[in-house]
Amino acid sequence: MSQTSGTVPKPLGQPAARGRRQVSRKARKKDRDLLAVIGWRVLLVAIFCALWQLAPDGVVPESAVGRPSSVASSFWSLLKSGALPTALGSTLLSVVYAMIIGAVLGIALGIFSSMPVGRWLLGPAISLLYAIPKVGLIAVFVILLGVERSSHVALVVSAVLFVYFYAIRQGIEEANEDQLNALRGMGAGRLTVLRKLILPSAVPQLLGATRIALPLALTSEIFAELREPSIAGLGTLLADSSQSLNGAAASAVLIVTVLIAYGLDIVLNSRVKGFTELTGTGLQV
Amino acid sequence: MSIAIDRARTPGMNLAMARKVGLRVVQWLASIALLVLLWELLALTQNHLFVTDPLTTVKQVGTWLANGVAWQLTAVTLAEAACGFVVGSAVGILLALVVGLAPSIAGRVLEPGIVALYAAPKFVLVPILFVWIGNGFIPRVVLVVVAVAPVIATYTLTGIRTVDTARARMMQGLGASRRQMATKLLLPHTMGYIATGEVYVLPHAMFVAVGAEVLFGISGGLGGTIYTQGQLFNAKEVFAALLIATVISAILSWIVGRVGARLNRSRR
Repeated sequence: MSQTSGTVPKPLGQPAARGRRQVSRKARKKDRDLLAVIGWRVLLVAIFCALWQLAPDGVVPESAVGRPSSVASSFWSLLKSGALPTALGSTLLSVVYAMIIGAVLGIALGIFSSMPVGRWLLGPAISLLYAIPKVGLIAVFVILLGVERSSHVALVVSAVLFVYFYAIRQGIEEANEDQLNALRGMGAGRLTVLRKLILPSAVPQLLGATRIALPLALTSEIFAELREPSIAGLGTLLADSSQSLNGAAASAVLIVTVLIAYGLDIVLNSRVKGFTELTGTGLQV
Repeated sequence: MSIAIDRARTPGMNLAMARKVGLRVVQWLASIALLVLLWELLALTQNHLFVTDPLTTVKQVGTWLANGVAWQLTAVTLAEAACGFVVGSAVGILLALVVGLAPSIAGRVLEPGIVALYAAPKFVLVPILFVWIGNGFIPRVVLVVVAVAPVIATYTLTGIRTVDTARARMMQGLGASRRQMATKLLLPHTMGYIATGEVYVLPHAMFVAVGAEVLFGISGGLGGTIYTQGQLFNAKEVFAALLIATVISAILSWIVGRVGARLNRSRR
């Protein structure tokens, strides 16, 4: 056995088994790489901040974007006064509400539309509704729901709903035909099939959908806050800062927003592997 | 292809296909009727200052089509979307080439930038851009660029990273030059991914352009009309602009579906 295994060609791209010493050396090299990567990142950010700090006011106006030093102090004062945490909490609350409502509605509609009656009724209607640029609807939602959080949530729901709709549809289409037939053959009802086969097998699609829906939800919520600044949120805080020509505060809020979005994406991305598989659900609001 | 044509020529197949097409047309008409009905109900229950009924909206679109306003508005929005799309694609491909082809450390250093840009809500830039460069054509295009570039970069990077390593090694072993590797292996493989990315980002560019117009509050363009006429309680104009934007968006989505499916098929 041991003799023949030596002649079997190893698959390309997979390193052959190595002694323990070599493995540990490799691990150490990886550590050093990581340090170098972090070092380079810090250096790049430092260079960027230095250029930003020293740029002439004519090119990079203080009133629009501030300077790193003033951004830091604004960030601190926004944090201490509680304005930033409140705004962040408010924005995230709207997003969470909308993600939950949007996911439930989208999945329910998707399941309904995979039935014969639903397909007949909903198929083209959903594609038409999907095509509406949702940013144009904010005024309509404000009329229907009032100058409140609910109008923001409605806008975000109208955006993320379709992502979940198309994701669950894809999941249903890709459910294993044999398992489906077996379940049905053994007398499983529609609900059992849904619970035992369709929903579990659609989990990858739904996770992928969440990775697309979350940035979309944040974008839509920020849009709603900028257009209808009825409730305090990151967008409202940013617009207020910019309008009073307090560029430093605006930049502080911008940086916080981007970092939050990035952090959420990282958390989600650790649960979703590929990116290319998700593209079927599109990107449009 | 020829097989499909031959099949279509047989009379039985033709009839079945005609029936299928007919059914789909009926289905679409039924769906549109359902939506129009819902819209009509909404218009009946709401103040006509805010919501107009479908018929008035379509009449308004007709007037705009006749006097050329429709084309003007559409041209403004499409120009922004197109400029942002082209520049954003170039920036995205460039970013991906730098990250993907540079020595591994440089790629790892820069990659979080692309991810952060992808995840960030683009509209936060609007207030700052407004103070910095005003509300002209350029800041709106900048917004579309910022939205398009990270998507294209992500697709291109996926393409670069999924190049068949076995084939690459074989080419190297046969003495291929770097240039040959790039033009014969990397480019054809990555082009497919770039094309897919371009297709999917196309409606997105349009959406960001409309959103930017609404937020910047300009008077031209479809989004600008939605905003300014909304401020004046001219619901007729608002809904007409919204309808035009929806139709354009639907056409773009249709193209995306068609081309996307073809690209997916050709890759397999």
